[in-house]
Amino acid sequence: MAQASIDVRDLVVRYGDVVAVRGVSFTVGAGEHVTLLGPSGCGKTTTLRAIAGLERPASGEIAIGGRPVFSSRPSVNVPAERRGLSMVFQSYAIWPHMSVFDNVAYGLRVRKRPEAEVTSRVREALELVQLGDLSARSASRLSGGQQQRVALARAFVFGPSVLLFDEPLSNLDAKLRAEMRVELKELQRRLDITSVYVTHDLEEALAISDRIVVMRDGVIEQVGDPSEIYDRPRNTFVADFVGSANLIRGRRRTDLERDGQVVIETAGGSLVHGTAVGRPAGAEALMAVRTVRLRLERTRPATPVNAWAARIRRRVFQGDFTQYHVDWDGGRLIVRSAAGEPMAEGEEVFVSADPRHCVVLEE
Amino acid sequence: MELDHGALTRRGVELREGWLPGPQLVSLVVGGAAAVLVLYPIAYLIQASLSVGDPQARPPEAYGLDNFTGLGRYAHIFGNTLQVAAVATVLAVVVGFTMGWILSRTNVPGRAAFEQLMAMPYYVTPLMGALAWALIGAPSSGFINQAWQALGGKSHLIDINTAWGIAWVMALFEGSVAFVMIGAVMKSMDPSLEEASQVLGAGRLRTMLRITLPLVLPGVLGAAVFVFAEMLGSFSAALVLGLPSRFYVVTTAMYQLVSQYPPRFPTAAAMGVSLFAVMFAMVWIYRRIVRAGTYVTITGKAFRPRVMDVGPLRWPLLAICVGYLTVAVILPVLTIVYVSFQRLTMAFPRADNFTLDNYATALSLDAVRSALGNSLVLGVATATIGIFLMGFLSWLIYRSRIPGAGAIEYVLMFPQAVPRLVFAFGMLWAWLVFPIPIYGTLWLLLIAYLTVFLPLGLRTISGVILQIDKSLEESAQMCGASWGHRLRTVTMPLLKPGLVAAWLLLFIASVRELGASILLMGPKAKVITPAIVESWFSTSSELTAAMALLQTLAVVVALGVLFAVARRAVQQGGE
Amino acid sequence: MTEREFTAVTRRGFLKTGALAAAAAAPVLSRAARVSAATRVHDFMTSADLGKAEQEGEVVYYGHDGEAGIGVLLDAFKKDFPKIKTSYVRLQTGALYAKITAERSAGRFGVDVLQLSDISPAIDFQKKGGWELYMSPEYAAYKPEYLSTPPGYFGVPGVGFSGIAYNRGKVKPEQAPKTWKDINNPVFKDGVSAKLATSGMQHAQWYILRKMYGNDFWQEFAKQRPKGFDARAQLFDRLSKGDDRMCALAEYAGYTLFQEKGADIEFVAPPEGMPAIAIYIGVVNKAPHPEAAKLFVDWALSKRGQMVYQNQKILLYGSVRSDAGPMPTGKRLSDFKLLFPTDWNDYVASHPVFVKEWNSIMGL
Repeated sequence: MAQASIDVRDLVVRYGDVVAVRGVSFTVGAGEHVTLLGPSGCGKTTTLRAIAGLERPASGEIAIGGRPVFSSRPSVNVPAERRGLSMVFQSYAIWPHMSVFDNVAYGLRVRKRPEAEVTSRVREALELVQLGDLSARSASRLSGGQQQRVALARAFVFGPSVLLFDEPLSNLDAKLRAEMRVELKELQRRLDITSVYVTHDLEEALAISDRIVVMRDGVIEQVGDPSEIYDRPRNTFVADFVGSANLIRGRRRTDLERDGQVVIETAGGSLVHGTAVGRPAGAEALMAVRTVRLRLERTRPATPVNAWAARIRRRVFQGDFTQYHVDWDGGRLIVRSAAGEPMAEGEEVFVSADPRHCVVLEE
Repeated sequence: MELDHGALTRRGVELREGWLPGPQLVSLVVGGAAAVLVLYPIAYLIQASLSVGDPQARPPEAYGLDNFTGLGRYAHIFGNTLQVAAVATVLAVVVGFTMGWILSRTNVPGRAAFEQLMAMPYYVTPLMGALAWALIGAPSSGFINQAWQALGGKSHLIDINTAWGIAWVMALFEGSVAFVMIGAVMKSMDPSLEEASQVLGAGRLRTMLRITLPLVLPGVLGAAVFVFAEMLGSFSAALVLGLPSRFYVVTTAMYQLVSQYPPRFPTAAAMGVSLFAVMFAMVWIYRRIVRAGTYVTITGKAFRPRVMDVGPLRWPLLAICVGYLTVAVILPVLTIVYVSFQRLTMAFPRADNFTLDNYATALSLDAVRSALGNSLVLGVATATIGIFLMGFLSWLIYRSRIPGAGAIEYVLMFPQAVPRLVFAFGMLWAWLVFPIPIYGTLWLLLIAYLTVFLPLGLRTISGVILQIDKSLEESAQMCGASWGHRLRTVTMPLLKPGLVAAWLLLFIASVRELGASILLMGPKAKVITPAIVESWFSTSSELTAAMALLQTLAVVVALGVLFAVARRAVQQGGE
Repeated sequence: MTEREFTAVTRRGFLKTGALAAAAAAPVLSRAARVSAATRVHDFMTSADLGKAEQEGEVVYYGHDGEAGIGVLLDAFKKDFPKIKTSYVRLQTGALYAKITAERSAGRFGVDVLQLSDISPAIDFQKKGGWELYMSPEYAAYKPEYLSTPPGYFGVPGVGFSGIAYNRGKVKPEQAPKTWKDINNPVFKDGVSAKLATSGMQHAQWYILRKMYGNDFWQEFAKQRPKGFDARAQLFDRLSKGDDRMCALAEYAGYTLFQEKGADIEFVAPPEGMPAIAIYIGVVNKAPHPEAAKLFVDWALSKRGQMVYQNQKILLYGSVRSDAGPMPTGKRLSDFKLLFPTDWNDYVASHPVFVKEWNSIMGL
């Protein structure tokens, strides 16, 4: 299947007086799967729709496969139906007055493909999404999950060079969502088309993306691959949005730093060793430690640094893991621990963390 | 056509601004034509109203405001108009609210059936309703009064030939739009708002007064203003019931002024413009109310309101519903049927008074036969052309994104602020001098109907269009379909059921239209509703009743046939 | 005048050129005045070319009678001439005349035959050059006072007259009206009906009784708060049902019709006499079907046509043909004391005064 790269430069989109996207720039390589991640209102859907051609930006440039499809200077605006993209909508947008087959065949028929080719390609697509036996059914009588698959099949059957996804799983219940996530990734790998995916669900983003673009309030906060976003968040927002993190602030103790580490002393006097990941750290620094990266033990661990005494204040059982709220350093830490031997509330314990997992944040 | 991606975007680069792609050009042309259709007669109306000097001269000899200053001596007519419209509005809103409440919030049995039946007074038509109530409530010969006298009462119980009588008939047969609008408001209210109040301890009455009423009030107010504007332009009821008691409203006065010799066109035009100005103001207020709040919605989810169990109150409420239908549908229809078989109408039937002569005469009258035929043909033409025209215009205004859509909408909603008769007056003038000889033909009536029904059609169809989620069209776009292809394969099929409903609405509206057609008919362009009025004024009430019934029968039969055809069309679309 | 000049004249405005046309004698408009040979068709004489008329195939008639009346008239014509279709517009005289003048002022000429119930619009139409100058051979059977001046513009196909009528059930015998003065009896307040200002008959009654009893007569009548209607069928319909107690302009023809239906009404022919009007018919200038129009007028004025006007219950006009038979009730026009306006110019000039006064009497 064809693949194309996407180039977005200084995109600004306005809705009346509100600026939804304020100068966003990023690229998607050919064949890459990029996700726009962020809370509602951050401008991710607007950006996606601008790429699709369904919104008209105020300024900026969008190029697909090297050719500009939108530009404010010189003035270019290719209508959506001619950009060669395809899109899966949040509401699926399945046409109720057509059968499943006709829904999927629509894009091919618009392109005036011979009917024999249409039939074989539609059948192939339906098999791929595991709806092979439903092709004759009226589209108005499908479940949510089935509609979603039809929307998928319809989107890729005519061989677009880019696939856009607008929160396609958000209308499904949690279990179905988890299943579909895996299938979606399967499909993506199989089809191997450039894709841009929009979601507010962290797990989804981490699961299916080659790279993630984290957005807030119309600007990009961080771009990187999933592990980078997860393990080395750039600032408080990303740290807190992408998984749960503890934020620890302290005074720099440059006298104790070696091997490129950063050491801070908290107000309560605890010493935390962490990594700077190439970010400048001033006289004060803020570090983030993922809740799952903290370890709880009854006896003091043997690690040379980052082992502190603490007391368990609250224990919340969550099935796959247990969340402990721990009094430490005059403040609180949250620790997620895989269900193992539970520790009781009030117990005196030791908290420790690998310095590689204590990351300095930009401020 | 292979959509090679590279070729696509290459072609895309060549599409620069400055070249109007297909949809924009077409929409500008169509929108512009529709605007001319609406504004051309209004211009003539205003010109006529400013004509001083010889009232017969055309173009006017001189211009001035004398006609307006001279309206002072007709102050009582303006007073009558306002009085009747106000009373009718209050009645219509009260009935609409009550029925809306009963049918959507209580557990009165048969609600679904009643909701369908609430449309019936519209089909009875204001003219037939006025005729029937003239026969029921005439002070001396009306059936109710005769029964009253037979029971020993003095003089009369009700007098339908008064302002209150006219308002009553107007509210019954022209007020159903109040029910529809208020019903829509009630359906758009989230029931959990009331539930929250009750959970917090407020009783039913308190909830209704503190929560429901304030939320619903703006929508009801909007409906009231709208209905008031409609009532100002009412014609049939005042014509049939007002003239006998020297009670004139602006529309009937205008009609009289232009129907005598020498005709007083400028005075009539000045009256028309004054009425137009008031109605315009009303519609403007209505739109402000609607825009100002998040109350009335055309789109948006329809909630299913929580139904209240009213216990034993069910039966009195049911009686109210039945009572309304009796007064608005059953009684008038039975009256007309009864009278149509009489030689000379009497309240207490005598065996020798029954006759089929009225029907024989009615059917033999060439006027009736050709008028019926014309009306049906015109109805089909209006409805068919109407849905295409208004469908396209609705899509243009609410879905396409061409600039100036709001301005076009404004102009096209103009006829709402103009009473039908006044508009026809302008059209009479405007098309009389038009070089193409459509004056006096059915073509003129067709154009008149399409123009005056624009607001009705636009409202109905846009409601249907807005119910279609935008993403259904956008996904077609993303599959590569051009706007024409989208319109044809996605938008129109989805609109079909709604369009069928709109078609029926336009058909009925066209057949029952009086104000627009009474001035524009010609010797070969007679239609049935004005013919019934003419019959009322120049023959007997029995013959008129027979004609009215024949009209209803013809419409019912036509609708039956068309319904069967339509149902098949809808079924085919759904597969 | 050439066709174009004539058209331009009508567009510029009537009264100026109307006066001109009236001042100029017949020769100016004599394009159509050539006398052609009269032929006998059925049992009457016509100067129309029957062959051409049937080729034209249609006649458009504007008249003031009730729908049923016009229907009867046109059906009779169709029976005699099945190849000629008929179509019509029915409006009370005032409205009818307003319509045709409006049409003509905009350059639309779609009417073949016009029938009016008031002399004023008839003479006005003559002034405006609206009538075609056509000497119907049937005029020979009419006295000169029943033709236009000069003859050839319109004829008189019938005469109607009105007395008083009341509902026997609602009016006590001692209150029953006997003379014209009795219509102002206060006992009839809010229970009396008459016609609107659009009616020719009403104009005649107003004029004649005004001359007889003075201007105050109608001011007194206004105090009765009379109700005005468009057609005699309506007046009698209401009278029979008892919605009105007394009708001040009760046409004899209407009374006869409703009495046959069994209505409990009584007709009074006041001793002073009964206001009468003639109805007027003529061929319209620039008619789309000129030969058919002439044929129709000849037919209407012939003995054959007059039988329809006189004997059809729904029309029941008295014929003024010199050789007319009695009306179906057995009476002749000469059996009644009929009152016509004596000074026609004064009568015509009084029309605008009548309209204004009558409108206000009727509440407009």
